Amino acid sequence: MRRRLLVILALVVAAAGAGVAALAAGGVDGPTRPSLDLAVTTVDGRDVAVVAYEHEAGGAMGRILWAFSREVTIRVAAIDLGTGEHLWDREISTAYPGIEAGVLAAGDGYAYVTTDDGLVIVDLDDGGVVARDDGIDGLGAAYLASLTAYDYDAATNAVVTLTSGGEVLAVPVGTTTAEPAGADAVTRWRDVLNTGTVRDLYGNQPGTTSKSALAADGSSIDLNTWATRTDFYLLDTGADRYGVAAGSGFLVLEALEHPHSRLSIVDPETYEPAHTYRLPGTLRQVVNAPGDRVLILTENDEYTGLLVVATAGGFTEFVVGAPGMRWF
Amino acid sequence: MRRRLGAAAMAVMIVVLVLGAYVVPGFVIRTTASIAGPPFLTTIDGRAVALVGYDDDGMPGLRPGGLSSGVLAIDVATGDTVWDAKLPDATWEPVVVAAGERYVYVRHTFGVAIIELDDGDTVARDEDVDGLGDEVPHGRWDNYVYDPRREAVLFATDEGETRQFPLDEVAAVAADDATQDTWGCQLGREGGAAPITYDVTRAVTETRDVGLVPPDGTPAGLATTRLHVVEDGVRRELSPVDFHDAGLVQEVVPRLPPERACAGVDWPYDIVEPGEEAVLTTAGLAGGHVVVQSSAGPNDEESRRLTVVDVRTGAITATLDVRGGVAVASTAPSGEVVLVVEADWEGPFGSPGGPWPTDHVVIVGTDGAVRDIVVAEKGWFGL
Repeated sequence: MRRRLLVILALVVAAAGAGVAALAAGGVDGPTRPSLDLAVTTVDGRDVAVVAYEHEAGGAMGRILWAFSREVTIRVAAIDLGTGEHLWDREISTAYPGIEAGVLAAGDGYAYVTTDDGLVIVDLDDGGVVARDDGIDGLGAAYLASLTAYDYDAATNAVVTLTSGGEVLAVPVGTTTAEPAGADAVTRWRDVLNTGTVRDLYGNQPGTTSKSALAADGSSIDLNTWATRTDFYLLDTGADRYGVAAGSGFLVLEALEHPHSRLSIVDPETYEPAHTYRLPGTLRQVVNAPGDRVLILTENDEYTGLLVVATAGGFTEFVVGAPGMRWF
Repeated sequence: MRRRLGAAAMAVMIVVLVLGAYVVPGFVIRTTASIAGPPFLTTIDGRAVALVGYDDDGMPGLRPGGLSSGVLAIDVATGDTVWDAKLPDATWEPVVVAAGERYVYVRHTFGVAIIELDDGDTVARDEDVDGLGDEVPHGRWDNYVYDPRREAVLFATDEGETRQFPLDEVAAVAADDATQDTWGCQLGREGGAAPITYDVTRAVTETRDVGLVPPDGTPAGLATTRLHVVEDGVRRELSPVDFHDAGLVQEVVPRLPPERACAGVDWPYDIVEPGEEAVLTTAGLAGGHVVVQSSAGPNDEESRRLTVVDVRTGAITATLDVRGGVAVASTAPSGEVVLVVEADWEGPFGSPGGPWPTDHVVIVGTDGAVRDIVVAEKGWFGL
């Protein structure tokens, strides 16, 4: 009698344990929303995109967690552009409501992420936070907790910021210390930073397509004159003037179709499509990346962010975000 | 033995429950008061007094009757409580609209209460008041309004008739034709005057002599300002203190409708230009001070800080951290500025005192010093 009781008890404990283990292993996969601002760099010889994204706890575990607290986290991941592997994927904020974040620059060992709470400097090797907010050397308590108080100055390859005292400081990419910015950089940025032109980094980039654009070599491309294929649009990277989404030897075009548009990689001379790809969601962001790549942000029908890499060899899509198992 | 243990556990549990429900909240959480309208300034026995209606939303603790509302009479010169009177049940969001020699008229959500000026005792309320009509008219912002020209509290009945309490009368009487023509379209639940926004700050005083100006060379992205004065046509910095996201606290006084403005006017009764509903003056300026409301820091947009500055010397006479900022400012005839602010508690032993903000009354004296008065503060056990 007692033995039978023990057996039942053991079975119940084992079942409960297996359930908890399954929940933990199932992780908290859920919708991810990549930020429009991403950076491309090299880590250990691999080309990676450093992407900040908003993650809602999903899955069975996520639903249980949501019952207790609104769990929206902001994470940063380094995604291998060849394989889609996440070299690392780390949480940088659990504030609710979630803060906005965007990767300004990455290179020489560090990635620089601007957030509503201040600048976060991340180690490219493991995603660990090196310094953030008021903990950045040379900036300290003079920091501004504002998304637009930080930006990337391409001319000096540095992240520039405004202090609460009105000074413009620069963190050269590859370092973690803020120092007074050069005179030119100060002129460029002092009345631009923190002026409240807030972008919705989890929304869509306006004007990601256009009928005409300038290629990198300065030549102009105009699809309006090209009578046979007027349903095509050039993917526009939103760079300073018009930046056409292209690698060497190809262009990326969008054909508007219902309900989802189709992207094609075409020959710039003949406009003959070599590869096509049906966008599963909206065309949120387009950027040109080193290595003759075009990076496209969209989402799948489960509202999970997708990073689509277009090369002369075709389209490859990678899911953004690998929050992994739930550790208690 | 086991039964005795169970009984002991039960007793402990009951004690913990009682402590948790009554004693601890009454002690730690001191009160939560909300003040709906501006204070009314008058005199009692020759003392300048601010009358403030409030809802006491705090933990009832051991108090019988639970939540309540009341009127607090504060001596403006000393900050002392002259009296603190509970209002009858269900008189929510009380606002003192007028006071005569004997009686105080208090508008509340569902009607009106008349209380004694000397001690706050209720004389009559709602159904007990003669002359209100068949139904007690509701107490929206545009009903039970004081007209100092007539020395009367005016209201519209549910039938739309304009009636009034002459000051120190406890019965309402019909208004004369001139009053009807002046106020008829400004009262009551149909149409009526627009609500007034009292929590206003401005960068520059109405005389344009004193203002908040960014220091030279401030980048466009910073909301940093300093106080400047203009003397003999020359602007100079008054004090080297940086304020973030700042404004000068304004006293907002609703404009009275012009005489006979309502005569022959149809809905929507646009008798006042939009934006002209109230007169704004910089609180305290007549007495030589301004109250600067700013963020507590460049990265602290949630918390507000009040700084009182002497506009002659530039000296800061007081600073006070308030959570939500000034809700309304009124100047007493004797020169003190009475502010209603949304602030925090300070609990015992430096604890935060409770989870919600509560409304305080802050009096800026003629010397620029501030008195912070916690409204409806409770003692031990919430009593």
